[in-house]
Amino acid sequence: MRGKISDVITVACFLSVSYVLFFMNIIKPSDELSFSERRRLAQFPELSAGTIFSAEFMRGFDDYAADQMVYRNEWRRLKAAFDLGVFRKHDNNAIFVSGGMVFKTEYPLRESSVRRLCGIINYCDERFLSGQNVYYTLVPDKNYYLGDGDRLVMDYEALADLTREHLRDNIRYIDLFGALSLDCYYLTDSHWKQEKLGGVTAALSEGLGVDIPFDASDYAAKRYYPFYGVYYGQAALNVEPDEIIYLVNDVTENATVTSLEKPGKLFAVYDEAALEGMDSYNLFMLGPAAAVTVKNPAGENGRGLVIFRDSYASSLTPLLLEGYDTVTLIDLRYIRPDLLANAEIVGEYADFTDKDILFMFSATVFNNSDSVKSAQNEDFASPFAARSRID
Amino acid sequence: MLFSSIAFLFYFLPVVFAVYFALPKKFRNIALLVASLFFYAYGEPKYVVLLVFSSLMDYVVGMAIDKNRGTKKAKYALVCSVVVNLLILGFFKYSDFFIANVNALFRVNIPLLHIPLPLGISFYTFQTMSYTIDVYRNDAKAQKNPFDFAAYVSLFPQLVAGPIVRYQTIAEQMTGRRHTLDDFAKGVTRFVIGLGKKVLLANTLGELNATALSSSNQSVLMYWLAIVAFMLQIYFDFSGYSDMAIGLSWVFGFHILENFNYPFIAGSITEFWQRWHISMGTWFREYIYIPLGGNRVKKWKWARNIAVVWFCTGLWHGAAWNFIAWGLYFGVLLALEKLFFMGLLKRIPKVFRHIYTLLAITVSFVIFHLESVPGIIGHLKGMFGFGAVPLLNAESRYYLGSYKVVLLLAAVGATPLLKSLLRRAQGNAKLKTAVSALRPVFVTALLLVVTAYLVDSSFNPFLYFRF
Repeated sequence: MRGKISDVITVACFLSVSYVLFFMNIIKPSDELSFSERRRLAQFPELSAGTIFSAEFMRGFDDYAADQMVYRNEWRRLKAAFDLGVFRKHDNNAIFVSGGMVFKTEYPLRESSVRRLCGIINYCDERFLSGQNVYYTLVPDKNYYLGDGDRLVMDYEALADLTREHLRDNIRYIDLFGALSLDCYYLTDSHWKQEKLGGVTAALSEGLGVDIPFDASDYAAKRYYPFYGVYYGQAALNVEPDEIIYLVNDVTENATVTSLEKPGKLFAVYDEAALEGMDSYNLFMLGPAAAVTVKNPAGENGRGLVIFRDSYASSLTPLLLEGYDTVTLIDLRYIRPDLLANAEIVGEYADFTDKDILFMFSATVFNNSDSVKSAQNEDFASPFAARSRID
Repeated sequence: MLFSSIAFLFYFLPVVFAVYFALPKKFRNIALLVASLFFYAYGEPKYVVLLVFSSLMDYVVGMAIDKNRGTKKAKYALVCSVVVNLLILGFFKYSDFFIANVNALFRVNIPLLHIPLPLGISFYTFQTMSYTIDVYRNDAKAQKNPFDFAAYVSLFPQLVAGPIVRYQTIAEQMTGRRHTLDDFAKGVTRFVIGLGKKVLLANTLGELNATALSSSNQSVLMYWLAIVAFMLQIYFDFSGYSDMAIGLSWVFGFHILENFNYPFIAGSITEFWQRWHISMGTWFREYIYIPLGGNRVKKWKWARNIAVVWFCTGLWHGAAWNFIAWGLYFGVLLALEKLFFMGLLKRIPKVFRHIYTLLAITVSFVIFHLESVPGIIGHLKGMFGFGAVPLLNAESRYYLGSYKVVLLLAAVGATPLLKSLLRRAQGNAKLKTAVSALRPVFVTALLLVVTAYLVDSSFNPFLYFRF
């Protein structure tokens, strides 16, 4: 090819890419949400003299231009493919795929973060739970079961040791590490599968001293496909979506859920409308919520359980109704612990009398406990923190 | 505005190209000036006034020098220009550094000013000073057209991170430049290569550097990974920006000088500085070192000249003592080479010359990167196995494995290997045709991949903006 022809084609290609994307970006209406990334996308910033002189408009436009780029998901896929395929990196934005399962590297162990969450648990125990049966458990993330020597894996033993060292002596530990395996987790999501929680209910049953019978065959299995888990969008790779199986029987069908944030309404333990939403895992127990209580109207033993929890407890809770008449879930990522003393705000959700208390947090939350509110944090106006995930 | 942003690539640039090339030649400098001021204001809306002031002042001073050539008035005008430019630079860049040192020295507590550093101030003040000095020396004619002069000062391709374009280099091009297809094609090719160096290599190496440096599980390998990644990151960041600046300049018909020439293949520190940030080295040589007498003076004066130039070089890079130490470190090495080692270096095998140079450069980047003395010493000890750390561990093996291809590509890309292969291909008709045919494919593919990285990433400023 002669140099001049090469020049013409080079210039034509460059200008074509520039102008085609320019016009497509101009024409394309703004998207509000990115389903694959599970977040709101930046919108065209406010244009005023103030926002221009403060450069706020320009910063906003940069975010807008990147977020609203045409074919955003395809660009992200190309980037992931290049990172992993050409650069041969072990992960893309800390996400990697092994055996068709998507993982997010959780490394290293952040001792200060673990100590912080232990401090919050101790605060709750000391202030609200004296004389109660108080337990805690640590939900391992699926990296623990990966067994791939080339990966960076947190020291889970050290994590468990740290929690034992820093939590008050009266808070008894229930070990779940042996109750799970890799196939208990979704391929594209961080969470465990409800239908695989037999080992967990057995361990809790023993630890809490309550009979929680679990036999998957006692339930009807409802299915939803495709379930694109939280890592699916982050990975931006071609992996198979999951199927959500949720277990239904008379107890789960008749149980009623109330929510602190939606007073006066009754909900079911499974919100099937959420299956079509941004995060299908919100199917379970109304998804992210500051405090919810589920009641089993047919319950006869009078026992109640309060779980200070993260999202893992959502799919587990319907199964616990076999052992408890009521289960209350309190998520300290969305409500400050000191507010639990305020009856006007929390009402019966903070009634801990004669109930078993379980602190159930995943290793990921222990290791990234900034998301958990502490009592000292007084700088937000609403008693309920903004959701970290779109619900 | 960043070159490596969607806003620049797919909003600003298409509009500027369309307007610039649609206008008659006589209006193109005005178009460039408007585009450049918009480009600057996009990142620094308030400081655009400073840029305009600096341009106007030096335009007026240039005219005054020209009018009063050979008289004391011309000298006063030059002094005025230099002093005001240095005051501007000193106030915005060094005032807090000065105050902090006064506070420490005299145990007082003068509050810091916390003035945000205007983008590219180190570059454009040096450019405008070069103009007035060149006009005073009669190396360049005074620019009569204030818009053309302002367009030179604010020329957006090189405004915020250089190269430092001396006025005499492009004085004639301001009015008499040609726009050719060849320049356009070469320009966009160079621009996209620069983008690739910045976005694909520098940013990825930056991730490695940040990860390795912040690791709580250190090893000798990790210390080396951190600093090697940083060296290569700085090189690809800065030389990538220079490539983009040079490439865009070609598109607009300007031919500015090269800023990098594969510095990591140098066989001595003297040679390294002939290959690294050439425009800055040239500026200091032309406007400080030679006026002080250069090396044609007594030895103590020469030593003083070296010390002054390298103190200034360090200080130019940042208002902190580690930058000054970094500059003086090079001054000492250059003096030692000149006085004692150059003869020896020429006699020893090439491989040892390169090992010495790379090692000296690596140490310099530790000083450059780690701001505190304990940090620098700790890192150097760790690198050379004097810290109580293992040689390697699972974490360092993981990151070496994860970044090995990027490191390899960067290491090869920092040598002229590819350039020399392409040059050889020019001698073979078939290979030449193949290279010509592949160029548009390469440019398009690289642009698309860079775009993918930009869409995926968040805001990512150039490192050299802070200088």
